[in-house]
Amino acid sequence: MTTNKPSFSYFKVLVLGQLPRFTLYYFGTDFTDNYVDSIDDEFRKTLKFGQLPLFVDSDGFKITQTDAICKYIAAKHDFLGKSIKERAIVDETISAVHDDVIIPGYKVGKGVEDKKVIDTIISRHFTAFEKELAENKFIAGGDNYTLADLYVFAAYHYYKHLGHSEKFQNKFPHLEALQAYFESNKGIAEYIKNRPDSGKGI
Amino acid sequence: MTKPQLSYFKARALGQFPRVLLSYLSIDYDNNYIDKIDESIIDDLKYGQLPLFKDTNGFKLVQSMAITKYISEKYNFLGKTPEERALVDETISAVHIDVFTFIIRVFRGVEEKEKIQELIIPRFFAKWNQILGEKKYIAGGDSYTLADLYVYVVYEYIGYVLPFAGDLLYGGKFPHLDSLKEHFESNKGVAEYLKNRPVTERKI
Repeated sequence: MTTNKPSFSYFKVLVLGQLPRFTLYYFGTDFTDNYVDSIDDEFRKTLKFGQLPLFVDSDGFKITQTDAICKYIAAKHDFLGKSIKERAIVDETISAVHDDVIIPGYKVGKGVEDKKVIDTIISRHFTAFEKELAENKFIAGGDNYTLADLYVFAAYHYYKHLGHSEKFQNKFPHLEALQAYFESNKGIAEYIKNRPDSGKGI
Repeated sequence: MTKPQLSYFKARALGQFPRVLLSYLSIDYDNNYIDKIDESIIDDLKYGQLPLFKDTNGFKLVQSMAITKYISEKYNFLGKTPEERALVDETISAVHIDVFTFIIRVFRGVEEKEKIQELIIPRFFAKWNQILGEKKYIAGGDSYTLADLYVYVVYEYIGYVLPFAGDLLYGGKFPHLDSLKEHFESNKGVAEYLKNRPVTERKI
């Protein structure tokens, strides 16, 4: 019996889809990366809440919601931390990154949010991430990288993509090192090189 | 400290998820209502925000979903298999990021209220009602999980913030959601929490 390759579906924009894509590519997963232009009615009926992203595992198990997809994949690779505290800090980090960093950054990029929020996020969230990395080598305080580190990398990478590099200047050496680590991963390097450009800057 | 502590404003908003959870699991905790974030608490707040959970061993955690997951893990309230756990994550994310946020945006007038009927009810509440009818528990396992609690909380909450949404949802139109509400509200801890929570002017 053959099983299908897992597949991931999302638009070309980075915003949310980049998180599972980074995760899948980081682990060298063999999967179908399905870039969707728009959701038609037929496709929408197959989506639990009518939304993307969607991940379909090789056994047919379907999961939606960005963070749930990333955690499901991360769990298979022991990428969620080894203790209950570490797992809690992973959850804490991915929640903060998704809700309070990626989404506001996206909204500013789309022109529906005041751009002064970027300065607040840099002085609050990115500063907190930098401080955590300075104190513990890994965001979740354990002895190895977790999904928390990948999310923080993705946020830093995304804010540069959105055009805020100048605001970081040389003030975040540990975030720079984190970015260098993830971007030196073969799968991630190839993803960044080959991913289509949505043309929307977000 | 002898009891864990949950700090949040007097509003329901995001603090209600950990508050209802702690009550449901009959965990004895200090329900610390905060008027405003000042110097006495700001240093404890990793990202400058509430809610904050402090466990008895001094462990501090922010972000409401991380708090509810952490508590749930200790009480085996997260599901038994990787698939069930994934569905718990999927549900709480949908409740928090898609539905809760949307409720607030409609309340604040930055989102059209018509979308509640056009999108939020059919995509989320009708879907959850269907799942409960087919599988008994939202995450498809053999008992309640955090996913069921999140769906209950937001089902009750939407009618509180947006009464017109309550008219569209309640009164037998979504019987499995009504049964879910009944389950949680008949829990002793939750019933007491509902009875005693302060009424707020902020209406969220």
